[in-house]
Amino acid sequence: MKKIVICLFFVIALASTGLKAQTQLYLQYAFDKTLSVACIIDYRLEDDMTLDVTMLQAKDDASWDRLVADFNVAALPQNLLQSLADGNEVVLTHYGMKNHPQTPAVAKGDSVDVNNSCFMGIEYREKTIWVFHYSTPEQLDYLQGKLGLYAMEDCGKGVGIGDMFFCMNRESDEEQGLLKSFFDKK
Amino acid sequence: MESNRQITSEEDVRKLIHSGQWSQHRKRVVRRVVAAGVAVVALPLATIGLLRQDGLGASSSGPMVASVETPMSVHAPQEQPQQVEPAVKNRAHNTTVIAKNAEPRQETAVLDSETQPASAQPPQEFAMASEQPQVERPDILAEFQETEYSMIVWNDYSEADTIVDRLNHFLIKKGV
Repeated sequence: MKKIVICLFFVIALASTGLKAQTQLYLQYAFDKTLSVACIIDYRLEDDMTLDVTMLQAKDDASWDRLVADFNVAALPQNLLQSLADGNEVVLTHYGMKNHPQTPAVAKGDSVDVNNSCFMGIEYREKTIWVFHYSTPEQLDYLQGKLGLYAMEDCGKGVGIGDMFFCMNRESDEEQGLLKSFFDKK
Repeated sequence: MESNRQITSEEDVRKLIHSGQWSQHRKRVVRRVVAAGVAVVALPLATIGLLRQDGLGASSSGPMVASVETPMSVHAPQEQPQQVEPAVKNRAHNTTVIAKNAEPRQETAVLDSETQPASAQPPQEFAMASEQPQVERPDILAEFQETEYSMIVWNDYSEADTIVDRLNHFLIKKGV
């Protein structure tokens, strides 16, 4: 009963802010004690641009495996993850459906519906998924520029919207080779 | 011997009355009834007491200590209060923080910057607000230092401070 009351309180609080998909996503995972879940409302990207962001971080490998399955996140080869030096991170970004971001990502070549899609960034080392709930073309452009395009440059891969992007900082030649090898298979 | 004979008929009663032993017989009968009653009540109580001494009941004194102090009851790890409840932070108004902490505390702290009691500890998010994420591009970090948001909802109080910093770091890192 106590939980129901608390949950109801936050539903009302979130609903009052006009949230929809964000609320659903947050509440879907908020009571999972193996996850750290946060919803940032009106996160300011630029002076006149804000964005709602949901963070889901797994606290252990088991919960991370569940998240990966829920969000259809591609699993990286173990040798690549193990070869990462300190400070390096592999990030996968892709699009999902706004109301159901855990559904399979938008396939390559599919047009991205601004009104019904979200952009996700996955940090493997941190076991974290960032869901960016954009709602305008400007927000999408920003995310593509901030996340997608830079990631493509890093990987030297000219892939289009809807594909998956990787970003790795200071990768070694060996890591770069593993990354490209995995990426080419996609 | 007289007192032990069987009283089975009305004639036996008359003989007892005439001999003056009737009152003694009644006392003897009453004593036997009382003894039987005490036995009926005491036997179950004694049985229960023995069972409790064997560790099947709750007790913590006398010889029961050894059986109670088993690894199951004493050294078993206490279940940690891992369940956390969602919390809401509203920085737009920068006034109200509603945080529901771990279950055993059984309390909901409603802290207001204007009405916060003197005894209340400052919320962790304010204490940590000055910490900056470790990034390689301080020039890009400066771009995000004025980042604002209207509200954060989170389910893990211990992680709440770093959420925005981590998001800033994530976006900056991707921009490198």
